[in-house]
Amino acid sequence: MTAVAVAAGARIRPRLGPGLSRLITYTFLLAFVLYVLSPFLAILVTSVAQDWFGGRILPGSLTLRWFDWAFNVTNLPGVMANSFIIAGLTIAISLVIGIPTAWALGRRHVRARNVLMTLILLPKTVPPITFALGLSREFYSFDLVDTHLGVALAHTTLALPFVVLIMSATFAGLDERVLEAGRVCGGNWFRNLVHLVLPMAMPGLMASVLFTFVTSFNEFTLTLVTYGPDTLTLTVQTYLAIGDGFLEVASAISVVLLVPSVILLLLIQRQIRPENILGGVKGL
Amino acid sequence: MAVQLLRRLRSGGPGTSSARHPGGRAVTAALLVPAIAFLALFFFYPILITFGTSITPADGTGVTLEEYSTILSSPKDWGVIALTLGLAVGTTVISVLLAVPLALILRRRIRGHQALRLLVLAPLMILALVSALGLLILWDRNGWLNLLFSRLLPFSDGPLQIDYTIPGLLIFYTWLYSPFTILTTLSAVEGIDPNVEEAARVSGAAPWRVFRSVTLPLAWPGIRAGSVLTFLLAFGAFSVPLIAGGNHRPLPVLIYTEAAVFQNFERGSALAMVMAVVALAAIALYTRFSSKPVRGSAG
Repeated sequence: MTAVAVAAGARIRPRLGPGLSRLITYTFLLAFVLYVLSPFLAILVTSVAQDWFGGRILPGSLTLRWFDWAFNVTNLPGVMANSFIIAGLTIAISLVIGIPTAWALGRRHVRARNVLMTLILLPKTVPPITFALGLSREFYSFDLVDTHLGVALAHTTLALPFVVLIMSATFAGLDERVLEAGRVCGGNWFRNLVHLVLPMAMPGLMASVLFTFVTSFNEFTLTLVTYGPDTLTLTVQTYLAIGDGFLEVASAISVVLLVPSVILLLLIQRQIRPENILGGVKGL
Repeated sequence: MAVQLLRRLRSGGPGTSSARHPGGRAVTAALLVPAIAFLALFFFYPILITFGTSITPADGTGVTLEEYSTILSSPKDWGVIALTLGLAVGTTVISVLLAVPLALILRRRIRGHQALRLLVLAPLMILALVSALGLLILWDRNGWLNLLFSRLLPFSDGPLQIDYTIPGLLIFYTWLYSPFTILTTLSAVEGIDPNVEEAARVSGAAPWRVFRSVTLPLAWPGIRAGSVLTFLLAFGAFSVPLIAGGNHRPLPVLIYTEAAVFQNFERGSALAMVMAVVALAAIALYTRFSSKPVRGSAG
């Protein structure tokens, strides 16, 4: 009887029931939190671990040797520079190519819009490995393998669909009355673009930039088939370190890799609603 | 200025072709060309190359379907396709089972729910390889979880082998790809008007029945949208099974191994084509059969 009264009393925001159900809820949440967080903890501890052998909960002693290895032996600064250069190029190419198309799809009459949108989104629908082999062959014949531009072009195939999707939705949502007011008040198209369209499209633009960066920075498959000694990126370097069995060095590189991701995560939580980013993230 | 405004309004205002489409079709086409050309060059053409390679015999002349018939008549290759699909379906089911209770809890805005929301996003932002490495270390035979199990269950015989097994891959995939399902489920559940559920409750429906007949059907579009993404990503997972799959090689790993290690581009390309077809077919099936709300929604 009391349970009924409690349930009826909390209409808008039902409270957790007492006793058992609360226990189950918090056990579930705790398990979820541990499930998500523990791999990060494992990497953090491994990256500074020494004498960590069978049966020990924590390593015997701590060391910064693996970071030293990562920076000096695997040339981490150079590799990191490659990752950032490629991500920067990917952002530039995706925006330059994607924004005009997004404008057309969002604000102009386009025949067969749905077909076109499906085609543009197709690279996100089929797994990258299905066109990675062909891309690699094409790059060999165009001499694009092992160039920053080449790797960035490969990444753009995955970033472009997202930029078009987000920006066309952004442009479609621009307030027509504001644009009309700008026109009526005598602003030329450039003034209107800078003072009206740009500020209104800023959230979409920010989302595009952030997620193009994440896509490129984290992309593995398409990097693996187009990279070379001069374009080694952090992802491939991590893979090579794991493949060589240096889990400690790989962990140290991973910790470095985590830094931009965590910063972005915090930025995103502030700026963008998570539902909007689905489909834009994640290299396989 | 007012006259001008009036004239514009009378001419139809925003939305008429003259106001919205300066330059007309030619401009629209010119705006669309860069992206279409780019994808033609770096997405559709590579697929064409892959297809071409898959039907070219080893000596380079003529056309053959040999690679495809080899794949289709090989129980081993069918096994690989089944493994890839099975892992994707398993991950999707587990993700939904995880997402629904989590969404129902988070919608109550309990203390710390914002931190939890941030936590859900975390696997999305992190390179799959990094998390796979963390999970490998964690579930290792000497890892923390096995240490924990060996203390809690002293009668168990030896450490659990999780890494490099199929249950292990499911644990890893769920970690990586469930956030897509969780986020859309959460936003769908939070979009439900609590009064609708309240009405069912007041009408005498038991909590389970409210959930089955009201909450779940209303949240279904969101669950569906996210689980398609989870399915797709799990189906195409490459880096994780590459380092954490051991002897289990799903299609992407097999494709890469055939091409990069054995230099058998014809077979690798044929497998890639098979994978693309299976992916598109699976999505078509999924969207078709999940478009109906779950059973009992009418009740």
